[in-house]
Amino acid sequence: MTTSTGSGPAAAARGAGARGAADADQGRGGGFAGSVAAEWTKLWSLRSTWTCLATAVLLTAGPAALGATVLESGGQVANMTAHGMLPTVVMLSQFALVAVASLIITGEYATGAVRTTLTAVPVRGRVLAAKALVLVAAVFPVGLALGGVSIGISTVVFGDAMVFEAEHVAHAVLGTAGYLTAVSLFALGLGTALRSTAGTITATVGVLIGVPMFSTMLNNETILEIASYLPADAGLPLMMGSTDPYGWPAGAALLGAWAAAALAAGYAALRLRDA
Amino acid sequence: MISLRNLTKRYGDKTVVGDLCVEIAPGKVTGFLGPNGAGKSTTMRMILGLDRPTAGQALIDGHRYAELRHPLRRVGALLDAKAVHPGRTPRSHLKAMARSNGIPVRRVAEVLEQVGLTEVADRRSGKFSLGMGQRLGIAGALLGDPHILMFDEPVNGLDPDGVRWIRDLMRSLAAEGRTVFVSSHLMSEMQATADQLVVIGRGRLIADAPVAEVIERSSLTAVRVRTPQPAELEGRLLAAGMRVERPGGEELLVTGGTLERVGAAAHEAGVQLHELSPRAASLEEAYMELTASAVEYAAPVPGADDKAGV
Repeated sequence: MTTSTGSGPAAAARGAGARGAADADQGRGGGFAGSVAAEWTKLWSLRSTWTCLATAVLLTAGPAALGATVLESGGQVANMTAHGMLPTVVMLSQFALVAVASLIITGEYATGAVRTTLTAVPVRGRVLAAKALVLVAAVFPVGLALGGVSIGISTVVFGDAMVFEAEHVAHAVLGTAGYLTAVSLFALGLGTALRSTAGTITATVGVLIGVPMFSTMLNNETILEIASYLPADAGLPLMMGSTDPYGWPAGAALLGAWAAAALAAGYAALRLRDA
Repeated sequence: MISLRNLTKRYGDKTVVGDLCVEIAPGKVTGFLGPNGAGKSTTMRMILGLDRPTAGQALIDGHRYAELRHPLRRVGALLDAKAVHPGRTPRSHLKAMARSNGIPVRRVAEVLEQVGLTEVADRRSGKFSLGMGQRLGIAGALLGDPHILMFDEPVNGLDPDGVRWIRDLMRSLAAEGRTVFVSSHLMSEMQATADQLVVIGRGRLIADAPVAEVIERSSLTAVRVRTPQPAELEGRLLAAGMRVERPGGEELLVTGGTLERVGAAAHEAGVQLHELSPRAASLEEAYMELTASAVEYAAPVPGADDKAGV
């Protein structure tokens, strides 16, 4: 390994035309745009991001193909809609995206990289906002792709027997992407508050699957009522176009509220706790 | 310039940093010394806005760190080598830092070259040795060409070559007029590198003085005497309030007195001298003495008064 000490960093920097110490705070760059660029670079320079997203696609395509084949061979295709299987299919693959969302922040706490992040961008709210924006930019298109993959597989397997209405399909694909984005933001907020990857993913699984399953088992009216406002149920009108007990605008508002609440909790922890 | 003004950090009723008032000036290397748990890292974290002070302020050129528009262009910090995600390559890590502060991305290649990591710039940093991790951390500190540099235990894990490299680097950064604030528990390293010392123990300031002065003021700075009549001289010196050690033979080590006073005492006693010479304490000894006394006893160091006039 070679080491150079001779001219010192200032000389090197001047030679390259970089700024001198005097104009430290002049010049452009940085700010919110800089934070977003940095978070974007960080997200895509980790292998785990690519692995998780590939896993999301596989976990969508696999169950979609399997489920469609089972239904088809059982002769249950009559009146099947193209997007009918979306909520079931996404139930599993959403956790690959939850992992990406969680790792954006908990991965930094686990490795100590968060200290680099916060010394580079000491405005805590800006860090969280940049992470959220980058997450939306990554997850929303992937959500569209997952919806497309699921519907494409259904179409191929069911063939002509299937009901295909372009308007409903578009609604379902957009709704899936919207639901997955909200769930990811929820995980990011929770991750910022909890700081632990395992804790965040466990808590998210609990909210998305655990509580709804438990409430179905209990079959208590009050608990079922509560469960119907959790993110998983709130996603149904977005993906399925259902209107009972509420339509997609209410579902979207609920999802937004869950994401906002988690992000607010995350922001509070980021502001108040030492890094 | 880093200014600590009554900087305090308490966890519950445990005071980690207490009422610290220090100015760290540009153009020199300021060593930051203290035993483990003395509050060095916490102080550095408060300067960088990572930890929130319970009271007081840490200011960078008069501003709180969080107010700096491009903090990496003002302050470069090596906190610990683990502030890097092991799954990321040095190039990506530094690129993200550069983008966050509007630093030209070409600086990434420059600092990688400067710390000698060019060849491994595209390998994931998780498999790096401790020394390579330190170099990457230093590359991050230099990235924004900042006027203030802070290094927390920078020579940890470096081989002798690396230790020498970092020492030269710190000296040259200070020579360029930058503020260099470096913590260490390796006193010998500080003796070779630092101009100024800030010593803390249990979060309290013990000393803030030039290295030479810390050594000079130490009560361990002694006078060495050789005489064929050691017993007689010893009695005389003890009577004059000095402390005497007898390493053996005709040698005496006298603390709490000056060359002049020891010479005068020998003259009055009519004792023949073969040697009368100053023996400076090493920084290590001076430091051990400072921290031991300030940490364990509230009372002043015995003999400290004698030294005040030296």
